[in-house]
Amino acid sequence: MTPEPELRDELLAAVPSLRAFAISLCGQVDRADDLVQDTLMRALANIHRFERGTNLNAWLFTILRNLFHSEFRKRRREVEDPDGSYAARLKSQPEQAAHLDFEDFRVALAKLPADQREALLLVGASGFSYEEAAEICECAVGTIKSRVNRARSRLAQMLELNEAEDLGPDGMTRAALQAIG
Amino acid sequence: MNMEKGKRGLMVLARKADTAMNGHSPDEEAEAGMVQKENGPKLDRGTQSRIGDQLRAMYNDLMDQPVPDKFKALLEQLEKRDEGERR
Repeated sequence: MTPEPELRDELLAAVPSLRAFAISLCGQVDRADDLVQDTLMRALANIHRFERGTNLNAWLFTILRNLFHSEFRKRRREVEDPDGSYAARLKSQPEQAAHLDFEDFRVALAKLPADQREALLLVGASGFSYEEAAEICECAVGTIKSRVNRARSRLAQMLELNEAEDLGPDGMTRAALQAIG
Repeated sequence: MNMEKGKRGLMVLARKADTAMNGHSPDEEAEAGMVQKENGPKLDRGTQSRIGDQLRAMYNDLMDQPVPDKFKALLEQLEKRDEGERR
């Protein structure tokens, strides 16, 4: 099935955001590029099913996410990285990583469970609404919100970004001072 | 090639991401509050925006990377192959 030229351009224009999502999701550039390539192949093979005028990006992200989960299901332990082995490998092989500038953040992101990571990436970085993210992940909107919240909380803990960690007296005072100032 | 259009689209996406990370509508706040117990302590705004900033900085850096030629080649190749098949 041949996509019309405009659609082909749109597919090409979607590649940077698909790659950014895939790299952030699986943590490795070469694997991510394979995922993006498979996504484009799958999209082209099913292009007749795409409804013109609907959100092409959301459709492509859905395909990519499904491929990611089926492809990586067997390696789920590695992907979710409970013992930090993947994060450690990332650190020891910087050439595998896209850039070193965001090393701490990427390592922390890699330690999140995959469902939280993808929810945060879709809503917080890829520009999808909670509703769109819920459709892409085939779950309830509330589930996405909950995953995003948990992802943020865990990242804040891991990166020690959380100034007012609890609502103890100090946190309350600081919050009050911030409100005044 | 329609890279300009693509670029604008990405900027729109980035702005939407801004709103999503920082500017919740009241009913979203309420819903988020309902699941707060299982999510641990609520993050203050400063922490939320610091995480959002880092996430977007990392992501934008990835988005700015040049598209590998193989993807352009792939789409062109498929187009040619399909044209060949139709003849």
